Amino acid sequence: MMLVFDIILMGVIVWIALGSLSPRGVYKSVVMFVVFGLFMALGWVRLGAPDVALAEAAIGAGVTGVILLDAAGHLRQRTPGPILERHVRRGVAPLPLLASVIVFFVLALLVVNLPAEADGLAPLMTAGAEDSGIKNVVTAVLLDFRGYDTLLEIAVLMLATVAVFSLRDAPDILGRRLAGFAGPLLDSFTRIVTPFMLVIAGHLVWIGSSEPGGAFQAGAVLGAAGILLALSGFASPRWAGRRVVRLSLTMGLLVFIAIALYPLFLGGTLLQYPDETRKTLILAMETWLTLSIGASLVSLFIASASPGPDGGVA
Amino acid sequence: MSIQTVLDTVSVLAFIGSGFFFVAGSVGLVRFPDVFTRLHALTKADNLGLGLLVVGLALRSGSWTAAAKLFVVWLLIVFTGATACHLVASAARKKGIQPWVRETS
Repeated sequence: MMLVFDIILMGVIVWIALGSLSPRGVYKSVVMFVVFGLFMALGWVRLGAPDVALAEAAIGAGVTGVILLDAAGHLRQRTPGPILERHVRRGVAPLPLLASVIVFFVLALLVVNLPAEADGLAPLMTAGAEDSGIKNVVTAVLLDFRGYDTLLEIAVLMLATVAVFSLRDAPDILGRRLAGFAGPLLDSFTRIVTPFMLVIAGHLVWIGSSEPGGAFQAGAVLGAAGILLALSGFASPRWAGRRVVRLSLTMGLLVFIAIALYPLFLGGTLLQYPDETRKTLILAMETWLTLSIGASLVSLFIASASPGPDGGVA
Repeated sequence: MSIQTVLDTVSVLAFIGSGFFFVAGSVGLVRFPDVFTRLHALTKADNLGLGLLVVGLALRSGSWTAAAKLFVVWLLIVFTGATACHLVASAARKKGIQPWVRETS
């Protein structure tokens, strides 16, 4: 029964992926991309990875979808008439197609040649996770065993935000009004939902050490709350330029680096946390990372959002 | 008839009802003529389809906390659905899309 479901799911994912590539217009592609993210999230749940599913749904489908939709609206505004003819070349580009086919076959070869019955690193992870007091293996991998990757990821996210900021004229970002949608219903909706979102973000950070959740998922919820506030006119875009936001943007990386360096003073190596304080350090790091990720998602959105005809978002 | 059998039966009926509303909503989304009627079909599926699904799952969850969480999920979706529907409809109105009327001869 579940096998049938899985096969249908896989088919649907490939079908939607193809749909998002088909040249029926930028707007349709973006919508298909969002739907693709949601089905991928379902796929991750079926693979037993609810952490990844949460991140995929919140960041892949949600926040990226909002940014892409906004970009599509921006394109339509700049160039009236069908977007397709202007921005999308018809037909298949041979070189990218060749590259994709080669990558596909290399990956397929690797998967086929994997040893059939090997535990891989799983036993090591589980044992290590028990030692560290971080019961959620995904969190342990992200922030402990493979701390380097996450550190660099956060650095990339911060640099991306800085780059988007610097591509825009500062007065342009800060003087703009985003409240294109304000109305009584959206107002009361925002009032009801935002506190919920903040509580959920806090909850996701806190349970991240033992259950699915963590800084990325919590940061995405926090970022979505900020985008909602900006779109419904509660938070002025000026807010993105405030020192508090810039500080929270950088604090995640700074705290991460500080905590990564801390073991060096104890005579250990980089990112080699001492066992007794490991859980506290990781929780502190996750909290600051959440704030940073949330702040950078909001800043990315506000800085790249296109102003509508009346100064609101299109 | 034990209480478990009653709960199971009611939850299965709720699932069937939920399936009906989701299918009807999807058919409406595809078949209805304009954005306003499509929104109407879609929000019915969200509110009632998901509501019945939550009822069915809550009866099977076996714990009050799980049932309460499911109920909160449903409540949030209802809030979101109503607001999103309103926003889409008002954006369509602002853009000048006229509601569909049956052509009378």
